[in-house]
Amino acid sequence: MSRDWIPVRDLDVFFLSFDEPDADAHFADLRQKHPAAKRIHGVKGFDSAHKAAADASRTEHFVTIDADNIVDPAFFELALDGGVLQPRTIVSWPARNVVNGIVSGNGAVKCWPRGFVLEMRTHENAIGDEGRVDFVYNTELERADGSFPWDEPAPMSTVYGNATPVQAFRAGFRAASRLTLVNGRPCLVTHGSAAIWPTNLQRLDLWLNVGADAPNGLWTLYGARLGCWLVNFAELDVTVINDLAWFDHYFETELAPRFGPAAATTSSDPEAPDPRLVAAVAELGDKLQRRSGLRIVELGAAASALFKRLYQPPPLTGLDRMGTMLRRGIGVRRDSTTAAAYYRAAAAHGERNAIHNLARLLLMGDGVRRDYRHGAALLKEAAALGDPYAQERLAGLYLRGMGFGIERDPAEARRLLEAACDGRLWRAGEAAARLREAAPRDEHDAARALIYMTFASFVDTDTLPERTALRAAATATEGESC
Amino acid sequence: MLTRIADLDIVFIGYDEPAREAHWQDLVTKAPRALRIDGVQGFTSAFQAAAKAARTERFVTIDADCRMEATFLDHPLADDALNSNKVLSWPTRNVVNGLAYGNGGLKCWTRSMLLSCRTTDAEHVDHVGDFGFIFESRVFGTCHPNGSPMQAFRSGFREGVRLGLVKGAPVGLDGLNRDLPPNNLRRLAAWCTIGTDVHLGNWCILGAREGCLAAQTASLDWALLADYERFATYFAGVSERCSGAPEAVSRAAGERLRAAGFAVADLAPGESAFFRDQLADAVDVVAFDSLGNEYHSGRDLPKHPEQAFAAYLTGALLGHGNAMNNVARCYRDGTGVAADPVAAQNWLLDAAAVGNHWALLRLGKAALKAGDSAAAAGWLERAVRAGNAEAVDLLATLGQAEPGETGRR
Repeated sequence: MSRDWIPVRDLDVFFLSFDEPDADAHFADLRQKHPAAKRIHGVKGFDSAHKAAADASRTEHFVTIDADNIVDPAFFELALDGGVLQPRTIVSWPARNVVNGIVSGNGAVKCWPRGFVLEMRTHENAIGDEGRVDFVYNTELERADGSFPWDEPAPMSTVYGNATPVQAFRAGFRAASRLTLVNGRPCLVTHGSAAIWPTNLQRLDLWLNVGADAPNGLWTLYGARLGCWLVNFAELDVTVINDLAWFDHYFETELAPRFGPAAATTSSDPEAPDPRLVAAVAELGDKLQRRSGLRIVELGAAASALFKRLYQPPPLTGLDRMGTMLRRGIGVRRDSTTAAAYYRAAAAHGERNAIHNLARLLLMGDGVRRDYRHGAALLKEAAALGDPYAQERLAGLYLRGMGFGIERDPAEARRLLEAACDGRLWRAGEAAARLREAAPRDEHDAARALIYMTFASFVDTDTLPERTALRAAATATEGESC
Repeated sequence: MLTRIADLDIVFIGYDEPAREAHWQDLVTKAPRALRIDGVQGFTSAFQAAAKAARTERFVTIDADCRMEATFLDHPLADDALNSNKVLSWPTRNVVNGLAYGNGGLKCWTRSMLLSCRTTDAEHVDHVGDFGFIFESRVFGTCHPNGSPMQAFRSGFREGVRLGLVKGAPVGLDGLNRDLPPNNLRRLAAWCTIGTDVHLGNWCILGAREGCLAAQTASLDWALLADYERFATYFAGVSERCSGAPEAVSRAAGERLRAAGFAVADLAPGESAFFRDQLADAVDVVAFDSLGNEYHSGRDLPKHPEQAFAAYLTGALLGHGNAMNNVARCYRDGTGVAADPVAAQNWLLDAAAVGNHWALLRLGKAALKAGDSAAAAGWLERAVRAGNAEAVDLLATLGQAEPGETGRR
């Protein structure tokens, strides 16, 4: 299948700046790499700024670059796959943060569909206009704003959010406090740090501890720790993080008296840090650690620099999701062969969803050579890892018997369906109950059957997926039916 | 037909590992039918004893300093790998420094490859020895090299030596940054830095630092690596030098490495834990690139361009630069996938963006050919920083007057 390619150079490119101190220099750099780049300056709000770019764009898709970024020249040599440039798909490239080495998957270089941006529902009420954190998904693949995110694997920009103390402080404050939100609310008091999604916790750990070697890096650490503290333990309304003026005001009224009137304008030198700032960062860290259980270490400049040299950002998240976009042709052009590679990559982390999805492709021969044996083995692995959907599917195969190590075995099917139901896949309950009722005397258990039948009633009929365990039991095996 | 690890015999191989009894108990709770070989001296002899004990042609060994996760038993094995004459090897995560790569403590052999092996124990300097390996990506266990001061020191020492070699030869202290492949450089620095918070971790760090120094300054007695008794004598000397506590000697070794420009640090325990948690390899991404190479070359696995491409693409999606570069090559040459020069260029640019030195060199050369010397200088400077030697010469021919790096500060 040949693909249509659209060179990045042929798209309109917009540089979005508001008050970033290095914006002029970064725009000059961008112009050198891509002379046609245009600048949208001073438009307040994420949504409005992007709509302004969409208004000005003469191409159906356009690129935005945040002003605190320097783009890799490789970016302008890229061509975009027409199969990905769909009406509601937002492509983004990861960005590497120069202060702490974090590579954020939801980066600062993005490609937008113009029509979508003009009509998109406002982001202004979403707290995280940069982070993936509080983007809620409508369905498995679609975000609440109706978009399909598509993440490219290679970082194409570096974020320099540390040109001045205020900017560095603000970057740390916003990012770290946002990472302590669960369902839009600060979680440390009510749920503790354990409620934070592991990937976010790992990132928060970096925001709170790495950066002493970067110019103004101590201000980023101070901001990160203070943000976590104020939002979680001092009842600061978290929406202030969207109010850029609040930060200037806070710096002037709270921090200048403490760190000297020149604090806002004097860059912090990692070689000769202000001892007052060092002490304040440590004191805040100590407080935060005792109250929240979040890890605090005081890495000196040398250790921080070494850390960044050794740090390899974890692979892209969302590989399983993108595999499903490809397999189903949602948001991108359907391509099961490539989907298999996405699933394989996600499965390498032991993501049980992806193991199950890969098993399905193998059993159906969709995009890959059909391989019942390998597919069955992977399905067993996903089920053993506790994936309720894989358990349900495998149960269906055990009820019929498909060979390849899966012979007819109603007792095993029942065990799997009960496990799936225990894993909150309620719809598996009914079949589990029926099998329990029909089981030979020694395994017959009316009380358990009743329990699973009750579980089954938890299923909301509106969300009942088309494939129930019963249907799986009644129809042919996956392999035969396709 | 074999499909899962659980279908194979599992043999536990112990020698003098201090924690072997606890690890054996852990294993039999997960795999009650596991077999055990104990006290057989010598690498070849011990694994041959395991082969004799095993009743399945393919069987799994677990080193006595390792613990296996129970989920390993459900892991299915690919037919091509099973039918090859190669050892399959799963990385195990080192509890001292969090690294998981290459040869771990979980392997899958065939009985015949071991029983027909004629190499004597004395000839075995390196475990890899006579056998071909397929490296798997997923981590299914932990490795505990810190059962005693000597075990900890020895494990660090061996890796300190091994990771500093290129084609079997040391690169010299001043060559570490320049000549080591980036992955090995990173691992060597991690061995020399992380673990101060772990039981006997300082012995591990000392071992790595001294192993590295000995190998790179030509003061290494190579026979040490193969001869356990000789090593015990050597360690007795080290222990005396340290008066039982490795910290001060380790700091001095670290000082020497830093003086040569090799970045290691003496971390406080909390810092060490932070480094390990954040740097721990979730998966060995290199494995997909290696698998792609196996299918591409057809040396030990059946030649299969489509499988090679699929493996490269998987590694590339996990962010591995070499794999991205190989995906680019497949698209360029149309091997395993329909030729597509635009896709090839895209993947080459991606590889460059993650700092792959081959990709940066190729882009630099292409820019030179196109007569864009400013762009060429930009790519080549990055290639040099990423450790590419050829780019140094090319950059020199461009002259010093070229504008500096673009897009970086």
